[in-house]
Amino acid sequence: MAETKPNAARPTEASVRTRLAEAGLDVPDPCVTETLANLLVLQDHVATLRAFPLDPRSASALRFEA
Amino acid sequence: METQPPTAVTHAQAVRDGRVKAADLCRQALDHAEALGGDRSGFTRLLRRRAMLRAEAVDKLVEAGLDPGPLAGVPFGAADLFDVSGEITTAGSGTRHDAPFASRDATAIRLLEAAGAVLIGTQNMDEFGYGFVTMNAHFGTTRNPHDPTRVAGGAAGGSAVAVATQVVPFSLAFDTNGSLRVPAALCGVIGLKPTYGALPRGGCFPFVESLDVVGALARDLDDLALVYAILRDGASEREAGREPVRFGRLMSWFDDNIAEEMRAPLHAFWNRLGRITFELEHSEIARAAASVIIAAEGGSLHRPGIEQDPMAFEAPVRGRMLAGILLPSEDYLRAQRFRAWIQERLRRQFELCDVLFTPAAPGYAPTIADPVMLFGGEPIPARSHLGIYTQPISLMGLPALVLPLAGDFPMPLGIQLISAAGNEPVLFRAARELIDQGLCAVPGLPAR
Repeated sequence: MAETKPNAARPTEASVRTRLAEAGLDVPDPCVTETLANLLVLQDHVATLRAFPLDPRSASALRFEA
Repeated sequence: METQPPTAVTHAQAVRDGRVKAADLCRQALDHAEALGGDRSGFTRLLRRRAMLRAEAVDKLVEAGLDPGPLAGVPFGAADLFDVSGEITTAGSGTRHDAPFASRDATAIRLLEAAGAVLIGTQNMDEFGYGFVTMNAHFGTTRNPHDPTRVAGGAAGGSAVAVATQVVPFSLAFDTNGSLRVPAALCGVIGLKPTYGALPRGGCFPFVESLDVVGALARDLDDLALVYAILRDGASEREAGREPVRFGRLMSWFDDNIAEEMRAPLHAFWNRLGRITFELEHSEIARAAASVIIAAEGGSLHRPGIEQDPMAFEAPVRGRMLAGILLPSEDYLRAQRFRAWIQERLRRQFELCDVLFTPAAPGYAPTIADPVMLFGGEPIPARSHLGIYTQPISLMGLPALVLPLAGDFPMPLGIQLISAAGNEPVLFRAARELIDQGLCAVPGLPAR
């Protein structure tokens, strides 16, 4: 059975370059570094979110009314 | 003794009574903005011809014995993401230099001008709303009017500065994650971020559709309440109530990372309000969810531009968008699911308290030369972190009103008041109480 790991492997410049290419994005080198820095921050946020045990059936992802 | 500047309400009354010409008010505002220059007025584009025509039309209505409306002849500005007919909506980005001209005014501008107000120009912001500093590579840095070596805050920094410098009595702005609340706090003006979905977004360039709201900034609370009522366009509203407002201070997330200069004034404020505390559970997760949603929606929205020419964007902006494009959809949906879940839980949050308060920003505005702040004891970029206390509230969709703390401080310090969704009337009532008690006040500008 698959298990969610809150702390996934940290991205690297090489992995970011690969993922950008897979997403169909051809960007200059400085963008890779900038993307990596932002992905590292996002990964922390994602880990915070994943650590919260919210049952997917307990709330809709497609409706919000304040 | 300091003389209070005229408010939008007093300006409009003078125009309606025929004591003041709207054209004169408009010309004065335009001249004031020009004299200050873009970096100190907050304006990036003045609409002199359009504004003067509009102001003269207001004067003609008065001369004909007709009523131009409750904002008769009052000049105002709008952040440059509201469509203005015949102009390019830049959203603070150089990538939009060749965008088509807007074919009509944004709904919010139409509502305000239908009430007699006169749009005089558009105001600076962080590129596409990404940032809390209004340091814009394409349109320049907007300076804090209390100390020009410091940032104005952002993303809607130009809108706050235009009000603080008294170029206009109010500005139309937006708030996605603190975009108007942070500059309100750092520039010492009053800012309202309404409940998500409360005000019309027609003709606004989107940033993050799940979080974007239209809001306003003013120096005077009654002006802000009037602008808010006009923007609601007759929509029904909750009764304000008459019982004393019950205040409570939010702790944990909202008590961490407070700068030294904010802690003692905040403590004194809390003492005067009865030392009641509450927790807003899961605020850190709410901030994380907001960050994920912003990255994903921003990345999707701007992917065509990134594909065309990534280097045309500011570096911090394109990096965030590219990271957002790479974010798995599952994480975005998880963030959205959390948003819906916490919104449901919040229904009970305000049973024991009407208005919760927090700092609106950690402390004084950081310097332009070194725009950093402390987070967890470490220096980090203010551009991405000044909204630590506003971000969770955005994710929850709650309304918030920022007020300057009263006191003889070197720079403004702002308090964020938060109420239940749809209960903006209690926010205005609370703000009035705090001003009347002398706990909050809009500071004057230092003498030049």
